Amino acid sequence: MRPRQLLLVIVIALGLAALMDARSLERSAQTSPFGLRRSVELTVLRPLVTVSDHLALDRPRMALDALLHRSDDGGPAPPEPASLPPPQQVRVASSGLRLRLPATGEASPPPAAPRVRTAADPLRLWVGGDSVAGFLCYEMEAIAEHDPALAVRTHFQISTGLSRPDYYDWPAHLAQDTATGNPEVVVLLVGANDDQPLETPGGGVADFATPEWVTEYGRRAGALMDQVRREGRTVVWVGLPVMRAHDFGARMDVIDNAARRQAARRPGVLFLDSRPLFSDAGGAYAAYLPDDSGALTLMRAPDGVHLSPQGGTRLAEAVLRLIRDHSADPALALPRTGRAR
Amino acid sequence: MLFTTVDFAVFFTTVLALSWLVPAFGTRWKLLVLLSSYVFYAWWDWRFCGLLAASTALNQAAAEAIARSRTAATRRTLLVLAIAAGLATLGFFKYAGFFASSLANALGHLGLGAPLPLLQVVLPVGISFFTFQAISYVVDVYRGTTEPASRLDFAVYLAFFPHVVAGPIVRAREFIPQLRRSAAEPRLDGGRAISLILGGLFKKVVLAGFLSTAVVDPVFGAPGAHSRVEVLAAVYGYAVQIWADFSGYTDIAIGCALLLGIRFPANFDAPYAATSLQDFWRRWHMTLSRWLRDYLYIPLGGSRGSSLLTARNLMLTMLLGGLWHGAAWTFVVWGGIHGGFLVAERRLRRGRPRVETGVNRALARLLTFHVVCLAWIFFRADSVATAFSLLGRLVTGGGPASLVTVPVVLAIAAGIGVQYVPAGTVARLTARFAQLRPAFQGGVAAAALVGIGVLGPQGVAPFIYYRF
Repeated sequence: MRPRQLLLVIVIALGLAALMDARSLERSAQTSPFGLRRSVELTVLRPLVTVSDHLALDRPRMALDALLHRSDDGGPAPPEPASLPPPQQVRVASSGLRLRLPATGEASPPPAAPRVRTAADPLRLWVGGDSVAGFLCYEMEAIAEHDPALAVRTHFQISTGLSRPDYYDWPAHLAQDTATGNPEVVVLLVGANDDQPLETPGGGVADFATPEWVTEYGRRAGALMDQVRREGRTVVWVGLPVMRAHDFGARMDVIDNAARRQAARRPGVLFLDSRPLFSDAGGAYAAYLPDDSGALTLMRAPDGVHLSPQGGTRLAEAVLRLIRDHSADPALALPRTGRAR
Repeated sequence: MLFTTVDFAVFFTTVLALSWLVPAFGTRWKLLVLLSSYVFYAWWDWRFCGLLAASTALNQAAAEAIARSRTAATRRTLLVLAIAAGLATLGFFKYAGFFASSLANALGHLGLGAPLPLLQVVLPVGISFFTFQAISYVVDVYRGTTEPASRLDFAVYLAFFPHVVAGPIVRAREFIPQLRRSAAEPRLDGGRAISLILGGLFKKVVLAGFLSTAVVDPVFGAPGAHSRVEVLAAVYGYAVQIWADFSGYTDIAIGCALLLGIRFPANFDAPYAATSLQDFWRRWHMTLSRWLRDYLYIPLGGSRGSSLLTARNLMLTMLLGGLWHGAAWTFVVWGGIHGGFLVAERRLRRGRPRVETGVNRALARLLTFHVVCLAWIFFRADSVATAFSLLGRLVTGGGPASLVTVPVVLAIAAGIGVQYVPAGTVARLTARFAQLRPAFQGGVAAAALVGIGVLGPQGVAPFIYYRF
């Protein structure tokens, strides 16, 4: 094959694939961070979508998606908002909340008699978030393996957050997730992907860390907390761990502070500041920290953002301690949850 | 820049088109490829371009000095210095954190606790691969099996973007003579190259990506929460995942190199059809296997000594091969299992004629596959305790098998079954594709790309071997 023939093959392959997949590519571009690259991609892709539509070249992909019950973002179709039970129809935990919450309010559950956690009536947790929550989820499940009085369901989704509901709609997915298993406590860790511009309700775009951005992000975080609280569940909002890169860490602080302020305003929402768990004595990022036995242990992933399995265990134990510390019921006191490694 | 991204498709198409504007393998072609390779490498982390350049300069200087040197002692000193520098750099990036924390803990146990600088060193992507290639080059020059290359040729060889991040580990004497060809307009094996790239994308995006998210990650993340059937599916699933991931990467790398007119050696040859561990290592990551054989096992003495010495050399090679993946006991156990079974095979076969029957071969394949799977459990688990927990769940884990869906079973079956497709069949299909007119080839490739996009999961993780 001569170069010009090869070039023809490549141009046809990539060009035709782009036309056949134009809608999916456009959606991918739409859900990428606002900015020049997104604008350029959309400018290029919009005419492709028009051509693809006119020539019906997008039909094979649509047919395959329909056959496989997939959305065009490559994942399973998200729940239709209309199919979700309205918040007031979601069954409230029959036992009510047994946690002593920081304050009481209308949304707080009625006081209930103390309940002893047992294998037959375990404390039900839902744990999830973005990729930083990955080892929190796995290690919470591992703790639950050894504690029959703890029932854990988890769901983490990489590259997600609250900034782009058009890419991944956490409120909708969380409502779907918590509709089964009836968790009493929802533990959420998101934010690491949210340092990007946000679309405001008025249709504008707020650049990261501007007052408009903080207001909008706070609104979204608060709305998610309210959604969970309306279902009668306690929220544990886990703050982001300290980051190795200072500039990235400063960006995460903006996100953390916006969520922390919303949590502070809401009864039934606990905010766990995870930074002290992963900092040295001076409050700085530390990859290696003493574990319970005092041995220096790698707590962070090589990227300086995510957690190691041991870091996940540390965070999971901190979440359980927080829940225990806010429980009015001494019978809910959790047993030692550390796991030998 | 992952091979599976649109970014790479744009980058590669641009480089390929530009490469045809200049005479193939001429100085301008080499400069273009070198510059492109550094752009590709900088895409990961520009700070490590200096490391790649320093490795190139140091090893080329060592090779030239060795070739010039007249005394054996000087040549040997230069060789040792070059190897030591390469291994020290590799060791620092791979093991500094592990050794510093271990030392700090040991001192703490002795009551000599002292604050040590516990850096979490970022591993430069591809450092193992370009270090191994550089070592093989200097050793081959020392042995006299390779002439020192020109500086530009060596720089292109080490940084060549299709293999810089995860191999295959190509030898200088395989690569550099290809740069010395003169071809005004090269005839390209385009059909084969495109088939390889599409096959590699399918393996990585569809097979590896799907199995990883559907069954492997959930089960290895929390083995106690899963039943024995799910654990078994995760173990088989991981065997398929790591093969599809790494051989998929290799196929794309070989295909891209081929489009640029460079041939790479094969790196995989249906490893799960192996009838013994020895056979497995002739089929799995073949370029690393031969590197370990030629630059570690044979210098250790190979099989030239007593059976005890041979066993020692095999175990050392496999244990060091395990440790190369990372400073963790899981990798040591992985290497130990392979080394132990290789030694056992040699002892069992010594002096016994092999009876080659279909049943024997099938049993040997079954046994070999399961030994490899056993070793993969330790390779994938985040700790030895987790690996034993998985093994325990294989015996005791009752409960439903909700993760073992029909697509999971089909993906595992496809991943294993394809290893038994005769090589001739694949070659015939590739040849048939290559005979199509360019427009049809493009159409088939477009349909394949769309199909891969539909079948693959949302988001594609980096290749597993990028972190080694």
